[in-house]
Amino acid sequence: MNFQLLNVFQSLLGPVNTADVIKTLWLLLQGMVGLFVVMTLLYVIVTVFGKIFKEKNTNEK
Amino acid sequence: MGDFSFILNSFHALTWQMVVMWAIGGVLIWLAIKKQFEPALLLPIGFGAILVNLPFADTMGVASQSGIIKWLFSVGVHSSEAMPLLLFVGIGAMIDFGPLLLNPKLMLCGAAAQLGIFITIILSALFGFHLNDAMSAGVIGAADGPTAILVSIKMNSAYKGAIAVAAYSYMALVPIIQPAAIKLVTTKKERQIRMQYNPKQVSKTTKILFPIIVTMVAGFIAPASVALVGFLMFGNLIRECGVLESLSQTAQTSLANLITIFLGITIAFQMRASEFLTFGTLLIMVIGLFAFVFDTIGGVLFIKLLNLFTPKEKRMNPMLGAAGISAFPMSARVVQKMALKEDDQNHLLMHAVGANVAGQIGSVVAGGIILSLGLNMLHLA
Repeated sequence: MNFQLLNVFQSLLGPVNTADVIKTLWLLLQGMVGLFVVMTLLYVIVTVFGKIFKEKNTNEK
Repeated sequence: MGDFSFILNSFHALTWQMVVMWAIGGVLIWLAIKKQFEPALLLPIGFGAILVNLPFADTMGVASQSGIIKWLFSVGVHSSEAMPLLLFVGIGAMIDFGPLLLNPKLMLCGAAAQLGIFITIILSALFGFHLNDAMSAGVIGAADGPTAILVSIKMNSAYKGAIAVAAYSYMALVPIIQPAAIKLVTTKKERQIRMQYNPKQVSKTTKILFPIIVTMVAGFIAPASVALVGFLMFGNLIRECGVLESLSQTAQTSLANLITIFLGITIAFQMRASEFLTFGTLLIMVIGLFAFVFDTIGGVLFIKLLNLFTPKEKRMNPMLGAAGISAFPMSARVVQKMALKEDDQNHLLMHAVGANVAGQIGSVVAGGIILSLGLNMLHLA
């Protein structure tokens, strides 16, 4: 993608800073990866907890 | 007559912008009372908007140097972020993570449905907002008022008031925004997917360990989220430990209520006409709406992607992805209502609640990640 094209684009609040737009794209990538890493780790840990600490099925009562 | 000129002083100082802010305050109060849109926050914010836009208002420290709202904002929000953080203790004490712990796969919905935050940040940058304002505006998509307030304060955004109003207003509009966005990216057949619910008991040990582990994991990966996640999970630990019932009740009721009363009126400090009535505010309100839409779409598309690699009998209803936002319990209710509308025997409520509480974790982690990465970017800029 040619980010220089954004220089031409005049936004509603003024000229767009292409460097800022590139930074936000990085933020999207890093942020979503970070989020998935945290949530996947929690998923794995909770699954392991589920195996270690026995659950009681309410239907058995 | 000269002795009575004080009566007219305020009229002379009145501006049309102040009158517009009274009208906005009035609309917020009307929405809170008549429409019951997040009344606990919109009513104090609405009243505060009137309070801080009176000429020579003593609450702002104009007549004296110690205006109460100015002081509350300075001490309780700006310098310590105490108010939003303390509110998290109360929120944590209110949350039952049980449905999520029963089906931990739903944890991923809480990550996917934060997509709107990051898309909105890009959109804001394209509109020409400064990075700090763009990141703050994006967090409206966290559908989590205290997180949005906290991030906008830490980022020193010029639009703190607008962001708080947008975050709470759109949260109340979840039942209108989400069904339209869900229908946009799902077919009737997909919305009819049924899911088994196997009611089990989660062990007490898991419930106690969960808040501690969440805090540690989030703390290692996004250190800036420790305050947010930590206070939320501290409240949850008080709830789940089983020996602090009185503290748990206090956190859920008295603490949360007290902070809520003052947080709304304090945030109104940022609704002074000179700061609030800008074109940027209007844009923030529009962008905030997109944040909710993209959150919903992100969550739904993620489940659809997962379903491509899942055996047919284990497929998830894509609507659950939409419940991965933090707006609890509205989002779960929306999904349940839509599922029943498509198939009156399809009860998704417990799954949706699980995804919804995952969204509460996801939103604070997202807020923390943005603070970690964003503040770093701003320092480098």
